[in-house]
Amino acid sequence: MSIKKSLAAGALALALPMSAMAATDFKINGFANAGFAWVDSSETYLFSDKDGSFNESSFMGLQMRFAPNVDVPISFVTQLIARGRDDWNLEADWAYVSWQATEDFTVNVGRVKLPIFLISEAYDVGVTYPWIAPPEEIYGFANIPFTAMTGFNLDYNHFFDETWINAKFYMGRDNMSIPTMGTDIPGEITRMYGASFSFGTESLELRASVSTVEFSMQISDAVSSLPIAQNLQAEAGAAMMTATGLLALLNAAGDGTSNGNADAQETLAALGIVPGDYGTKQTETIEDLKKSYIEGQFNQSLFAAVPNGNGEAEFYSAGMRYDGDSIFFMTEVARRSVRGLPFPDSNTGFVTLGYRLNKMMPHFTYSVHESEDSILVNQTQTSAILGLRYDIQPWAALKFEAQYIELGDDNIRTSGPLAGTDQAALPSTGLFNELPALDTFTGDVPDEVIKLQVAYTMVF
Amino acid sequence: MKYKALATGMLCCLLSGISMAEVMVVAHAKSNISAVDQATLKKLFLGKTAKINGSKVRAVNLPDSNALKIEFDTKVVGKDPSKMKAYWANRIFTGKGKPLDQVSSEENMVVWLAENKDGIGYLSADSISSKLKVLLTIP
Repeated sequence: MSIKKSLAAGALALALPMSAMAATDFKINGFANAGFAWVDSSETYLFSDKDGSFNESSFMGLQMRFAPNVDVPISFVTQLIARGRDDWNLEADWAYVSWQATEDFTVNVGRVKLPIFLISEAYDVGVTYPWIAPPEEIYGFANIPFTAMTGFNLDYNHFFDETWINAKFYMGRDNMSIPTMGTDIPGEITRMYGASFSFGTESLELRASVSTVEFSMQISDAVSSLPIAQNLQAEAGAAMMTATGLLALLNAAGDGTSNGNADAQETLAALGIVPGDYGTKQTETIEDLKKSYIEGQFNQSLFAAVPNGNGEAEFYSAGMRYDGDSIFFMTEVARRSVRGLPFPDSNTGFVTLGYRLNKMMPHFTYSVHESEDSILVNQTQTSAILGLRYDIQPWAALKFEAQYIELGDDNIRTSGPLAGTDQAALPSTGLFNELPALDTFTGDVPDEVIKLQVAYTMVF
Repeated sequence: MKYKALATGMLCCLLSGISMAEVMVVAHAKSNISAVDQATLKKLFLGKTAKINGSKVRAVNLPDSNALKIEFDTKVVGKDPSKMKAYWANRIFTGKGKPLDQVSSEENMVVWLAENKDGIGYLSADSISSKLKVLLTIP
């Protein structure tokens, strides 16, 4: 036996137990955002006000991927995120086990983010898009108050030479809470499911999706206990009593002569109402009474008769994204339609155009959120955003944004028993989170807002 | 004159990327793979496939800041460092795929490939070892 041979045998002996032992694979990646946002309003808009806030766009995420055996296509993935807006509490939007059944087909089971819009799954990964956060009119919690679910998704991908296709199906459940009228209404998503289909090239992506969300919510219990609900009912009641009393007096006072009741005439005189005004006053009071009655009914429909129970929401969206050498273009439209519970339908969309100049990318966005047939909340608003992304490193960028937000007009109801009534007009509160409780009915809502933001974003 | 030539040379380098070296695509000397085309390489290093002609392979990368990686990404994948990073961030954090294996230097690339028969990586001409075979040379 030559030395060479025995060496080779030794090497083989050494190599065998190495390859027989399952090699594991463990990888950690992460991302972080540090941002400051300022709004020219004393009311809180999303997470910021005129004192400015670090909370809105500051967060950190850490992702761990563990494959127990590199030869078996199963891995465990957990993504932990701590956000300023959630008081830096840790949460997991992703925690799943992934089985790559074939090169094209993957099954993920556990907690996964919802692929509801084009970049929903990448919402937290700032280096992948130009803005500080994807446009809030469509991606914000006012439009989609849940971002992840516990369940599964099936992901089919196929790459051709120059193009690719992707089809995805998901199903699951979750808990949620919807901020409404200044309170958080808790609810449960009993079942949600949806599908998306996308295709594209290296720089272009086209996508369409539809999702259904079945949920149950104790809205009436939450809303009718709010002070505003009780105050409004009391106000409407008092106005009706005043009008009824006045009408009784006017009836009793007759035409103002001795034919009528003298006491009633005296009381009216004390209120500054002379016999010559009796006719017009009567007409006015009847109008007031009707108005208070309608308001009372409206409030009742708002606060007392709001159903507890089950609702169903459908989300439809279509979008495209082009990320070329110098041009960035993205547009998306989405519709939310809600049945069973009194949340407004919404029509949303945006268009962004950016131009890459070396490490800089100035970009402009126009974005719309329109509430349709609102009862509880009207959040119609439009935004114009002027931004600049500056790539400091391939893995880090600095972003600046100036946003002009215009709140929409009063929402005149087009259907239901109060259709067309002025009294039912609901001023838009835009995406302000606490205004509905305070100012909706006094009309003291700003009609325009300016928001300035700066953020640093990175991945590692 | 000398300075002018130097300056022109530097400008050339700046304009055409950081280095002008050839990139050698390499695998274990006993790898089943004997050649690979650029289109397949691009898919491999974008994580879109893990196979060459039906054989399973593991692509291994150099660090993001490595000049040879930047050259490889630009020439083969067609993405500059920012776009490459954004592409991978999107894949990694949205459940679309796992990151590729990575080694810290060309020396470690040689070591890693010599230990992994299914590995495929890239080196500059000076780092080629007899334990490896060259599948493709990218000028």
